[in-house]
Amino acid sequence: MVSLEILNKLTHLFKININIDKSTHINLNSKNAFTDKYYFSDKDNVLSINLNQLTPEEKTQISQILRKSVEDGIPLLEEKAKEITEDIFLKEHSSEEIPILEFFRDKISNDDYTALRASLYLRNRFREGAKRQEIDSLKTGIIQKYGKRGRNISDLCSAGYFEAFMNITKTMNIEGFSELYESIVGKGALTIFVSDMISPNQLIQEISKRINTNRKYGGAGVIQIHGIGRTNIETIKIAMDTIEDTFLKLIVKTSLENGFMVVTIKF
Amino acid sequence: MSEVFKEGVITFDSASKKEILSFFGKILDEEGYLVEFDNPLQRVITPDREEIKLNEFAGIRKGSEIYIKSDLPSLIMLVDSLK
Repeated sequence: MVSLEILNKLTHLFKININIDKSTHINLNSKNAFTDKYYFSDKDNVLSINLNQLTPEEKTQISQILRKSVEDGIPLLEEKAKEITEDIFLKEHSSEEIPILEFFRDKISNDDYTALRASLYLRNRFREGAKRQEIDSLKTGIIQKYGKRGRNISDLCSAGYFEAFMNITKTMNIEGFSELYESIVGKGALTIFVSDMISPNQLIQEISKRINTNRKYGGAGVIQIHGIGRTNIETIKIAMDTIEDTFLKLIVKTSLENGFMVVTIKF
Repeated sequence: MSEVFKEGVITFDSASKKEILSFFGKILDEEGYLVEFDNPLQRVITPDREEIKLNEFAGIRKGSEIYIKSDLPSLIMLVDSLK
């Protein structure tokens, strides 16, 4: 949907005689899927403009139309970004996400809150069966923006910690909540939160990497692995069988209570 | 039309990125970052003061032209700006 002013300008520029109105979607492309300057799809109500077929003068006019359009508050977006933005909006208004978002909205920092929203979207896409490449790309975006803290929030979210957190902290005051929240989210390099996005092999690699890195630089000799739920606990057990066979001189302590497993490895 | 884009949206395919940027007076520097056509030493930045590479460029919205990156946090902020 765009303003009538923009549509009138486009109609005039290309001498369009078809029935477009303000619900018509405008798409600009350069893939030469069609050879004319524009193509109107009745079925989808989309007006596609082929930038490759425009004269320099027409491009100048399109440029003016687009700049005015942005100035008037109509964003100009890459197709994929538009799809993701719409998807984010839909999911954030779902009955599953509204309670989580409302609970954490005023309790955590703006950055953490945005990282949580991004992580919830990531988790949704994983559950929908998105390809590994997409999942990795989305997660990279969170980590690049929010660093280790973003990674923690993403892993905690995938592992179901935020829902568990909601239940545990419902009766806490804000100071108690903040202390507990920070003790978990701020844990960082020494803790791995296992989710169904991590396979036993990936967990083995992650634990091995941290042990080797820490030993190499003489760093802290403690790692904790957290998991909630049967599947994640099973992943941890499988991984730990290999880790204990691979590395010497490990002291491993395991606790399992109410579906939470915590494995502490000292080395 | 989707609820989030109540006022409308215009889209472009990824092959059109450079052309779209040229409409707004932007080109790429040697490292692939968006820069001003009339001042190539000045890189385009987001409201969070991040520079943008072509493959990260997702679009432009109002606010003396705010350039949008394609990562999740940036698109979430776009959702908020459209409310």
